[in-house]
Amino acid sequence: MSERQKKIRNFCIIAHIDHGKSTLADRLIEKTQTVSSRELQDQLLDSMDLERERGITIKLTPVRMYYEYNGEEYELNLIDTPGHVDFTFEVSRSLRACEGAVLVVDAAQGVEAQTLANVYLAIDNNLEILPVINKIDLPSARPEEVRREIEDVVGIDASDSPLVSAKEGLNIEEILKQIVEKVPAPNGDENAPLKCLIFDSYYDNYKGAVCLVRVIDGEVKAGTKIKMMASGKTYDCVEVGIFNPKPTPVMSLKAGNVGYIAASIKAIAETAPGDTVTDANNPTATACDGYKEVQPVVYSGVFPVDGSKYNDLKDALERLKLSDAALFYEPEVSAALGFGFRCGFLGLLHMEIIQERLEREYNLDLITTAPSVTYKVHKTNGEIVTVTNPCNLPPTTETLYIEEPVVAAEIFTPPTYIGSIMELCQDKRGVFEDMQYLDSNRVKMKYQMPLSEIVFDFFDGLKSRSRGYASLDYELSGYSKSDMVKLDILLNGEICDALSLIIHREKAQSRGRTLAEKLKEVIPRQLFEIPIQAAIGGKVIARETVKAMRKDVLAKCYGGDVTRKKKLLEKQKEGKKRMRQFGSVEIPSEAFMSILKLDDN
Amino acid sequence: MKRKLGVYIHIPFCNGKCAYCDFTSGVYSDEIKQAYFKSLISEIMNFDFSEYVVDTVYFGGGTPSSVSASYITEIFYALKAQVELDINCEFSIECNPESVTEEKLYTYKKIGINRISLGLQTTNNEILKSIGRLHDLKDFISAIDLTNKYFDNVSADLMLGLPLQNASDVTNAIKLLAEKSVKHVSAYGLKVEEGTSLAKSGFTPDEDFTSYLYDLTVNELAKLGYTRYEVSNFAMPGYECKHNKRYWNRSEYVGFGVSAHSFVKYARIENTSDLSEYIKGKTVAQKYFILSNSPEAKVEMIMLALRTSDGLDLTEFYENFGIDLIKDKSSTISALSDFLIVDNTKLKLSNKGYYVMNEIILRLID
Repeated sequence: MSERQKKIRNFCIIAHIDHGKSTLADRLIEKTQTVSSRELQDQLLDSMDLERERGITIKLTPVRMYYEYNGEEYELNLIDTPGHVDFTFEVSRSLRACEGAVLVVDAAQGVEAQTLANVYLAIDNNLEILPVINKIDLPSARPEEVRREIEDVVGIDASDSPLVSAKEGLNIEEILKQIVEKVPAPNGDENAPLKCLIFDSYYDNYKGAVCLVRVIDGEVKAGTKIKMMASGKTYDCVEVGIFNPKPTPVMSLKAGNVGYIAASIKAIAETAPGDTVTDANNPTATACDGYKEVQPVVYSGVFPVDGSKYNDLKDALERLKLSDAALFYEPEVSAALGFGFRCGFLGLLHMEIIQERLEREYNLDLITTAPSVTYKVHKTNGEIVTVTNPCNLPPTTETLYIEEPVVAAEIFTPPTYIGSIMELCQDKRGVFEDMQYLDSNRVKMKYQMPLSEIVFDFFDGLKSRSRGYASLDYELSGYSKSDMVKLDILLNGEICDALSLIIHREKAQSRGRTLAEKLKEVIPRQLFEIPIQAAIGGKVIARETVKAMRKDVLAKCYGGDVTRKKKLLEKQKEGKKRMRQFGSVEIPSEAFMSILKLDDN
Repeated sequence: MKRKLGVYIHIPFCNGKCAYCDFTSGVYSDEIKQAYFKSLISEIMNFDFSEYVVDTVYFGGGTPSSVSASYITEIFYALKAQVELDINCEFSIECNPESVTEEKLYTYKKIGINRISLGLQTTNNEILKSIGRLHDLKDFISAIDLTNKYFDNVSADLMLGLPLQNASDVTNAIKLLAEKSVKHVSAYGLKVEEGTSLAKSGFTPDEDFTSYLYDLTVNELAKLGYTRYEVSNFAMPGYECKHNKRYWNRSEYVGFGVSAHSFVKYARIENTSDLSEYIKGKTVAQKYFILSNSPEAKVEMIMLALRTSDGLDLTEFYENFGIDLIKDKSSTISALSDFLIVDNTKLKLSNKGYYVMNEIILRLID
């Protein structure tokens, strides 16, 4: 290891969503004077508006800081990690670029479920974990208890964990010291052939797709002919640089460094995270391991409310895809909703974020259909097909059985709510596995649960049953054979494809009834009577009717005020723009959304 | 030759505010009334009547009968000084039962008013009180008896879908009107307008029940010889309101007063609805032109003509716009056969069609 490498520390911060990670990162940056405090905008690293607003980090941003320790200057690279379970894969990538992790635990709330998953991930990646107890300025802080909790629950030594307050700037120096003392310097050979791990990438309007990399071996600089090992594509490196925290070009990046490579790469898809960058003329023998393609977990149809905005939606998705390689989409045509896209997401939060970005950043009004998971359908002819859209479910006559994805769910709650949460989990077809008291006021419940049930209204149920106290963490644990059926909604005798669902047989009956009732509420009365039917495999299980309207018995035409009448007509006409014509039935776009949240009771 | 013109005069004063009313009207002091009539007269004086002869005059409100008859007389003379009145001029005034007096009726008669429109709404005293009307059944009966003494052409307004209203309320009212030989009935479905006290009370009329009451009204009136000549107007033969018909067949009319509307020389004009602005001399708030063969004229013609039992004259429509509507909208019209009737050269709404008039119009003008 070179002398240069000995003075590098690469670390990340792991924290529960509101335990103060971003604030702590800001303090570290401030303390090392990477930016002056005048420049310091709160939560510097969260550069997306949405992130700042919701207090969550989605994209990873590495920052290089300099810190003087025992008279020597150290280069500290902070690699940010997203805090949410949907982004576990992104977390694991960034963990592989580090040698250490600062674990931030809230001195009042203690260790949280979401954190644990990431801590274990860090331990699996052989990272040195430095627990830090934050928010000790809070009156409810109980640092000693939390210290014990870290040792019991996480199983790591927390005896000399710094007690800090990121908000007040208390004890921040101690963290920096421990990073230098405890986190190992990066090994790797700067004279070996180039080998860099791409842990993230982003799109820059001028530079194209930019790779965020950790250099494992060798050196890269402007002019190096680089090659992506997974795709085999080569590019001429135009610029390398670091973040301090703004992107700043440097002469070169060497083994142990963290920074960016810009090489006029057209699309983010060509800079797949997890891929290895090497020197095309002097390639490394083996790529970094662990590269895998991201698989969407949840799918949903996304359609513009105004059908003429299809191309706008397409452009928006194309542009989002440039910066979010995890987003998957393909064109979809629905009889009810017209032209749109089937989109795949990493999870519910990811889905919500994409939808929100489409609406906010691209000013689109969207209709999204009920989220669906990926089913494996075993057909009688031996074929196994993957179904992510209810409309593509093979007919029952050709189906042997269906498998649905199951997750291992961990629910953390105060003991008071155990009963009602168990009820909810049972209702959601959960199979109880284990329950463990973490301390006198926190319980961890483990369930095996179908993902489709979590996707449908589970969070809301959990939150309302626990007054917001319970939290959920889950990861896919496999597939299990399940009696799934397709539930169709017929409007005026025709199946409305955008309203079809794949659902467990036991639930189909009641869901069908609720759906029909709800639709009766949200579909306005029209010229003709509209029968609404719910059907399983062609058998009608529920029926409601929207009566024909009779409403235009008009009030007086005051003193020849024709304008008023015209305005009324125009308003009515305008209202039709938000309606979808399905056969002779007009469906308000809200109707498609309102059925996404239904209480089965 | 001079063109025919209708004159509408708006009197925004009432003795009380009804729960459903969102129109420019209210209770005001005598000073404001005086100032208002001054502005009103000057607005009449400033209008160029030179191309016209007036064959309908309509005092609407508000409640024109709530102000002293001398104001009405003054307005009448101001108008007469400006323009020739046709010898068969229909001359209407809206009155409320509680403010009609023999003295007022006598004055109205003397200046040539020949049609009285009485706001009855319902004969159920409890309902009358709850919607803020100031009269009860007894007041109405004495008002109609007095009116009948001086006038032959009397109209009454009914409202359907009122809170607490049931079928017998409606049949009772119609029976009474027939007994009192009322010649014309306007029946309006209650519409809860934003900002009214009725809206604040949270009341919404039931769509089905209101249309049931409306069906009942149509049938009862038909039995008694009243013909539905417009979506909400019914008359004994020869007693259709000529002034109102102007609105539906797009004839010219000029409106004077706050928030009055005019349609003259291809222009739709809307007066300010701000009473104090009007008193200060501001009249026109908005004015726009609709050329006779423009798309907007087309929309208006369909929208207005379909309100009437005469329906839309397809020949006239073709002459104006060069469109054979029956051909142009053949699939729409055949899909709507329950609601539309093609009768020789006329397109009309069926009884069922009146209830979904807007929907039908939207499909025809699309």
